[in-house]
Amino acid sequence: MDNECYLHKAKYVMLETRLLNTGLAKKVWSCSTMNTNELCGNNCNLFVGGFKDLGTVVKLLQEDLGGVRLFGYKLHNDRIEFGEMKDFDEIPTTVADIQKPGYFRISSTGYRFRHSFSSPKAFLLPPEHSILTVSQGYEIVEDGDGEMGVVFLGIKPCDRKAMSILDGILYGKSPVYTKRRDSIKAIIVEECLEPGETCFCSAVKAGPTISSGFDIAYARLYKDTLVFKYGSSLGEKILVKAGLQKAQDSHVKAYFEMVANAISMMNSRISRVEELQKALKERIGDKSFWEKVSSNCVGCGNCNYVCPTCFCTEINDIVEEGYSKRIGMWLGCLTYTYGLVAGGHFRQELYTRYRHFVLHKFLFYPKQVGDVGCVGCGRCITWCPLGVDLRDTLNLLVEGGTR
Amino acid sequence: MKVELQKDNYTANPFVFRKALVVNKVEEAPGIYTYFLKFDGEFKILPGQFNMLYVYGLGEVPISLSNLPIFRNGYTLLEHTVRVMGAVTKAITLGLGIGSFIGIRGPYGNGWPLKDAEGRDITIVGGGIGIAPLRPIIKYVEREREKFGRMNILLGARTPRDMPYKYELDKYGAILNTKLLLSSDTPADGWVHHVGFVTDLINNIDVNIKNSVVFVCGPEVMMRVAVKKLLGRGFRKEDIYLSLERRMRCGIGVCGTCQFGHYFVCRDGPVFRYSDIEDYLWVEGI
Amino acid sequence: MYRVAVVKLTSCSGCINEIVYAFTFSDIVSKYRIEYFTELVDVEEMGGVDIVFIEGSISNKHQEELVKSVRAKAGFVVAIGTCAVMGGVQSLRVGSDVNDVKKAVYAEPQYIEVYSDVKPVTDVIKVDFVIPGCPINGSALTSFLRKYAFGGLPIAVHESVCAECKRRGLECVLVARGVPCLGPVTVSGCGAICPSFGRGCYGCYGIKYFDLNREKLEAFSRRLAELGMDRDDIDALLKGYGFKVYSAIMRGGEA
Ligand SMILES: Cc1cc2nc3c(=O)[nH]c(=O)nc-3n(C[C@H](O)[C@H](O)[C@H](O)COP(=O)(O)OP(=O)(O)OC[C@H]3O[C@@H](n4cnc5c(N)ncnc54)[C@H](O)[C@@H]3O)c2cc1C
Ligand code: SF4
Ligand code: SF4
Ligand code: SF4
Ligand code: SF4
Ligand code: SF4
Ligand code: FES
Repeated sequence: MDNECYLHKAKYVMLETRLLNTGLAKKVWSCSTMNTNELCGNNCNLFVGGFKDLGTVVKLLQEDLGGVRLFGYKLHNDRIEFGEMKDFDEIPTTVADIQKPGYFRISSTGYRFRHSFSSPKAFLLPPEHSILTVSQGYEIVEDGDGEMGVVFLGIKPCDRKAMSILDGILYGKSPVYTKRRDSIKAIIVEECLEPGETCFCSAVKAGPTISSGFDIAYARLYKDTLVFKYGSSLGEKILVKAGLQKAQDSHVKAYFEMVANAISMMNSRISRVEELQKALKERIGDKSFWEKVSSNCVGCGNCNYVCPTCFCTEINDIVEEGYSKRIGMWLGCLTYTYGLVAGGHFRQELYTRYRHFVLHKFLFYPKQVGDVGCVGCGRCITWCPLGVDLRDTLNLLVEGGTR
Repeated sequence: MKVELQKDNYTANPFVFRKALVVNKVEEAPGIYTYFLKFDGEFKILPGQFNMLYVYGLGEVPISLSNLPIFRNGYTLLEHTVRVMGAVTKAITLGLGIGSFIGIRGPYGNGWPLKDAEGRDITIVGGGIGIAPLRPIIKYVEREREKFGRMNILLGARTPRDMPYKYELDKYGAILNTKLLLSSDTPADGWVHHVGFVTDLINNIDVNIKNSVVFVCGPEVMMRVAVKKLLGRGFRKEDIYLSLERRMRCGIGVCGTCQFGHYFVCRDGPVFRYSDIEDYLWVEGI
Repeated sequence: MYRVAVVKLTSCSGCINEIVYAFTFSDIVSKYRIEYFTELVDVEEMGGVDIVFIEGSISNKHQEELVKSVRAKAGFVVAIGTCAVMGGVQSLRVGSDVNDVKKAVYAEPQYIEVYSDVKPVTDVIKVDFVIPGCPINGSALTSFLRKYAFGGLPIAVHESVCAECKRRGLECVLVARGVPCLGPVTVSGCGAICPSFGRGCYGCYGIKYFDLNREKLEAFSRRLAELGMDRDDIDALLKGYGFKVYSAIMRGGEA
C-alpha cells in the first residue's frame, strides 16, 4: 500500500470513515489529499477485463449467492428503465443517452449510458405498494411482500449514494423499504468516466466514482475495456475467482485522467455546496426570488418522481368487494396535494413547494440524514417537461454565478 | 453492506393497527364529538401525543389524546375528540356510533414536556379543536397539583356553542391555584366572558414570567399571534411550546408529507419549543 | 339503501355507461337503488333522492332550470364528467358565432334553442363532489360509491396526469420523444392512458384548476410550440375540455 495516487501524486493513508446512519467506523485506504467524504480512496487495486468478464463476474456472484434476481438499467424497445433483467447482457452497452433540460434521447452513435427516468428507487420504494390488506371487520388480512434476493447491476455512483440517503429516512421504519433493502445481496456499480450533460454528482460528492458501499465496481475506459475494483470481501473473492488481470499503469493513468476531467467539468456546473447553503438560509423568505425561479414550473411533480432520493408518499384505501387494500403511492412535494389539509393549505402557492424541494435537498436532508439529499444526477432537469433547471436556480442563488 | 444498516427497534409492520371498540360517544359542540375507545392490552400514551385512527375503506387521521388514558383489568380506555372536517372525520363523527369498531395505532409524537414544567407556573392557550390536546395537561396538573405552580387556562372558540367540554369547564376553574379565562370570537346572549380573540387574554394573566411554561394549540394564525403577545410580555422563547398541525399520512416519519422546515411534525413534534422553530414559523408556506 | 338519480344534460352519455357498469358489482347494488334514470328506469318525474349524478353541461334555459330543481330534490350532488365539471369538448364552439355552429350541425337550426356560452353544472348550483373525465374512470366511480356507503368520501388528490404516468413507470413521451403532451397541466384520474400508448395526453380530464396562471400556461404553450405544434392547435387543445378554467386563467389571476 505504499503506492502513490495517480490522480493526486500523494501517498495512501489509512482513514477511518463513519458510515451514514449508523455511526459505525470503517477503515479505508485513501489518498492523503482526500478527506473521508470524497470518493477517491479506491487504493488503486484495479483489474482489467472486457464485457465478457463482467458476464463471468455476474455469473459467479449469482452462483455464490444462490437464486438471486438481477436488477439494473435495461434496454428494451428503444427504452431504458430500471427493472428486472433476464440476463446481464441486457445492460445498455451500445447506446448513449443525450440529456438536456427537458430532453432525453437514446443515440446509437455513442456507447456510454448514464441513467434513465427510473432509478433503484423504483425497486426499493415501488411507486405503488401494498401496506396492508384489511377486512371489513378490521382484521389484518395481509401485511406486505414476501422474501427475495437481489443483485443490483450497473447502478451508478449517484444511485448508490441515493440509496444511502433513502436508508437514512426509511430503513428500519418503512416496512416495504426495509424488506426490499434487506433483499439486496450485492451491488455492482458502473462508474462514470464521461458524465451526462445534466450530471453534477462530483459537486455534491456523489460520484462519478465510488469508494464504499459496493461489492464490485467497474468503469468503461473504452468500448470493451473495463477496469474493475472491489469494495467488499465478497467482491474481492469474486474478482479473484474470475481470474481478472491486474490493470497496467497505462489503464490506471487513463482511468484517473478521465475521472479528473469528469470531476472538473461537473464541479463547474454548480456553486460550492457550502455557499449554496449559506445563500439558501438567507433567501428562505425571499418570495420574489422563489417566484421568479419557479415561474415556468407547472407543478407536475415529474422532478420528484424521477429523483432517486424523493420518498414522499400518499396512502390511499382501494376498496374491493369485502376488503380494502391500503396502498402507498408516490406523491411529489411539487403537487398541489402536498400541504393540503382539511380546511386549509399550508403550501397553497406553487413557489413554496418548489422552494421546499430545493431546501429539502440542500438544507433539510443534512439535518435529517447528515448529508445533502441531492446526488447531482440531473434527472429532475432532464425529465422536467418544461425544462426547469435546478442548476440555474442554484446558480442564481449565489450571486456571481458558478465558482 | 449489511453492517451499514441498523434497524431502530424495528419489529413488525408499523402500519398494523389495533381494533378498538367505541364504548361511548359525547357531542361536545356542533360537529365535535368525544369518543371513548376500548381495546385489550396496555397502551402507554402521554398528553400531547396522538394516534392514527383508521376507518375501514376510507383512511387514517391523526387525532390527539384528549384525556388521560385509563388502564384497567387488562384493557385500555382512551378519549379522542374529533371535529368533522373531510373524508375520514366525516365518517367518524357522523357514522361511528357506540358499538362500532375503529382501527388505532400509536402513540406517536413527542408530547408536552410536563416533567420540565414541574415547579413552574403553567399557562395554557387553546383555540377551538386545539383545546383537545391541551385537556390532558389540565387533568394531569389537577391530579399532581403540588408539583406545579399557578395555572392559567385560556380557552377560545368562534362562538360559545363551539366551545368543547362545556360541561366541565367550571371544574377547571375550581382547581386549586388556577384561573380559567374564556373567550368567544363573536358576542352571544348570556356570554359574560371576553369577546374577541383568546390571545387577547394573554395580557390579563398573572404569572411569574421568569419561571413559566406556556402550552399553545390552535389554528396556526392564532398561535403566531400568541407567540407575539407572549414575547411582548417577556416570556422566554424557550418556555413557549406550540403543537403544530400538518398533513399526515403515516405518523412514523416515512411518508414525508408532514414536513415543516427540516422537522417531521409527526416524529419531531407535534409539540415544538418556539426557540427551535423560530426560523420557520414566520416564513409563509415553509 | 341509498336512493339514486341520474340526470343527463348536453353530453355524449359516455359517463353514464360507467354508472351502468358500476351497478354490476354486488356490493354496490346491495347499497344503492336507482330510482330515476331516463335511459334505464321507466319513471317520468324525478322524486326526492339521496344522491344525484349529473352528466353533461348546460346549453339552454331549460337545462339550467332542470339542474336547479334537481339540486332541490337531492341530498348530495355529484357532477360527473368533464362536461359537467368544466364545460367539456362542446366548449370548442365558444367564440364562434352560435348561428354558424347551429347551421353546421343541424338541418333545421331554427328549432335549436342554445346559449352562445357553455355552462358547467358547477357554475349554476352547489355541487358536493366532482368526478372529472371524458369519460370518467369507472374505478373512480365505484370507489366513490363504496366509500360513500361507508359514510365517507374518497380522499381528494390534486395532481397532474404526469403523477400517474410516472407511477406506472412510463417514459415521458414529451421529453424522450418530443411528442406534445398535455399531462403536466391536466387533472389526473385517467391513469395516463394516452402516454401508455406512446401518445401525448390531450387533456380530456380538463385543465388543472389549481397551480396554473397565465404566465405558466404561456410557458407551457411555448414548450409545445418548440415541439412543432402551431399556435392555433395549441389553443384549441388547451381550451378543448377545460374551457371554463382555461379562460378564467387566461383572463388573469389563478383559476
Ligand atoms: C398531530 C395532530 C393532532 C390532531 N389532533 C386532532 C384532534 O384531536 N381532533 C381533531 O378533530 N383533529 C385533530 N387533528 C386534525 C385532523 O387530523 C384533521 O382534521 C383530519 O386529518 C382531517 O381528515 P379528513 O379525512 O377528515 O379530511 P380530508 O381533507 O379528506 O383529508 C384527507 C387526509 O389528509 C390528511 N389530513 C387532512 N387534513 C389534515 C390535518 N389538518 N392534519 C393532519 N392530516 C390531515 C389526513 O391523513 C386525512 O386522512 C390533528 C392533526 C394533527 C396533525
Ligand atoms: S418537473 Fe418541472 S414543471 Fe414539473 S413540477 Fe418539477 S420543476 Fe415543475
Ligand atoms: S434533485 Fe435532481 S439532481 Fe438532485 S438527486 Fe434529485 S433528481 Fe438528481
Ligand atoms: S423533495 Fe419533496 S417529494 Fe422529494 S423527498 Fe423532499 S419533500 Fe418529498
Ligand atoms: S451523476 Fe455522476 S454518477 Fe450519476 S450518472 Fe452522472 S456522472 Fe454518473
Ligand atoms: S408523457 Fe405526458 S403525462 Fe407522462 S410524464 Fe410526460 S408530460 Fe407527463
Ligand atoms: S406523517 Fe408521514 S412523515 Fe410525518
